[in-house]
Amino acid sequence: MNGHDNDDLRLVAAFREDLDDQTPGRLASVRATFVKQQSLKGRTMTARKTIFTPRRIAVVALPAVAAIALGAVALGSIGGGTDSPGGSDSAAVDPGLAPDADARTVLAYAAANSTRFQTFDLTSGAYVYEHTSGTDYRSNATDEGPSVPGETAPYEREAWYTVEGMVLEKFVVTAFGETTSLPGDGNNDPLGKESEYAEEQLRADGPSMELPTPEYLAELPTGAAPMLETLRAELGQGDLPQLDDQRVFDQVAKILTVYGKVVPSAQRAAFLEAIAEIDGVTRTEGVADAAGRTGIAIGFDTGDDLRHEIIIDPETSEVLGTRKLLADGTVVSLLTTDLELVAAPGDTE
Amino acid sequence: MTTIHADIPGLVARGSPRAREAADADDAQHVHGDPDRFTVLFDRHAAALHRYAARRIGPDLADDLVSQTYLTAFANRHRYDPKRPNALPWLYGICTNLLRRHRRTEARAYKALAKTGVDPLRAADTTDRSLERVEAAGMSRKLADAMASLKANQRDVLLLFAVAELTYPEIAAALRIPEGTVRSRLSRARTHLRKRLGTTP
Repeated sequence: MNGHDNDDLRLVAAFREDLDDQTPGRLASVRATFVKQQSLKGRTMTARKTIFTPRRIAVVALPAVAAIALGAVALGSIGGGTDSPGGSDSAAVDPGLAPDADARTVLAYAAANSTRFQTFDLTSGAYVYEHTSGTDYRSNATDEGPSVPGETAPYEREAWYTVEGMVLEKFVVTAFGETTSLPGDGNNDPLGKESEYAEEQLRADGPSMELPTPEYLAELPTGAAPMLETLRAELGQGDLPQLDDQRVFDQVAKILTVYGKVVPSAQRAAFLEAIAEIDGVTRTEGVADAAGRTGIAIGFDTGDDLRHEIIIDPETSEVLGTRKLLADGTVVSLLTTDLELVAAPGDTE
Repeated sequence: MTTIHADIPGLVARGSPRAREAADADDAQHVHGDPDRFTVLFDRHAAALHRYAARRIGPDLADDLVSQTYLTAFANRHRYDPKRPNALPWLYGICTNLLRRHRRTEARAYKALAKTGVDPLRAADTTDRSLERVEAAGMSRKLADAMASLKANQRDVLLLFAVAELTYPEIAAALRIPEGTVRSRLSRARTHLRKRLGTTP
């Protein structure tokens, strides 16, 4: 670069240079504002932590949990064996749910607790911010049949969806192994296509299980059987029942993670109860998600020997994360998704 | 670290963020430390962030923006990669994200300056030294017009490069985009700028 070539940069560098009115008093005032707000924020966070530690929840919620436990007993299914591969160390399960309760019982219990899950007040923000992180595998395409899991790598994804329509506005895969892929801006082809496709599909066909809007989710049936029927009608292709059920399980997992805080509690309960009806859904106890929180994994063995799981906290019905395992128990994917309601794409809180 | 700006005379001589590097070696431990230690990051980097923000949206809004940048950083400090010793690109990234809320203000100011020659971000009694310099080249209004017509993501990259003096990898880390995208956006921004300024070779 020679000097002439950089004239434009020098102009930009000099432009409004004197706007930087940084008297010591000005910066001190900004610092004081920050420290004060930081202190308030820190206190709020500490207070919240004190009140809502898991142990505290157990004590405070004991009467309610006992009542729910009685309900679960009435369901007649407490006491089933741990019935899945890949089981790990047993975790302390809160009162009300038998340590060896089977998948159906765990899901019924979580469904009964769905009102405890805090959904978004959609009037207070315009975008849903999704932050998914953990470890995932790269797919190895094969000449015949489906792709198979390849090497695993740290994975992180951030995405922003419009609340109105839950259309993907922007996404960034910030890390996948050592590479960074898929820049999240308007020039990005995959994003453009995905957004365009979503908007086009919404216009042409309306919302669906694969592209749900808040209104659509709120109008879904609230019982297990009608919800499962709706899921199968929308997602089933009739090729093989096992593959149809896999699609249903995976889509419910996606809805309860990516759209989790937009799903009303009645429909959340119905989704959980619906997957409990699928043959082959089993549990794994004491599984930690990518963020280290312990939950119960509910899984489904797919046709390609890959077990897909959601890790749930049965006390709140929150889906803490997802996990995928090979038949020998090797974990090839462990992801956690956090959701926030934000004002604009790019905001994280 | 060798700055990519070293071969651009006049761009690195203004007491820029480049001077910070020696102190940055242990930023990570302050990010992950207690709240008191986190304020060390304020003392180290707030001036640079304020300089950058003030030139985009004016000093008054910059005050709030810098404070908000640190609050957001503090709330998200668990997401900071401890392998990165220098927190400044991370803070610039947050600041730039928050600036998006002020895009209209920024664009309106550029347009007003381009149209009237008066910068609405500037207090009436401020001595306008840099503007005089730019005016001397007869460029200020054209420059404002060019900045207003830039794509927002290209403007972000251009200003992080020319004003914040981040390197390509630092901008990539700040905006969480690939380095190649940084280069292409900067290249497009400069092409656009030269065209508008009438300095296209």
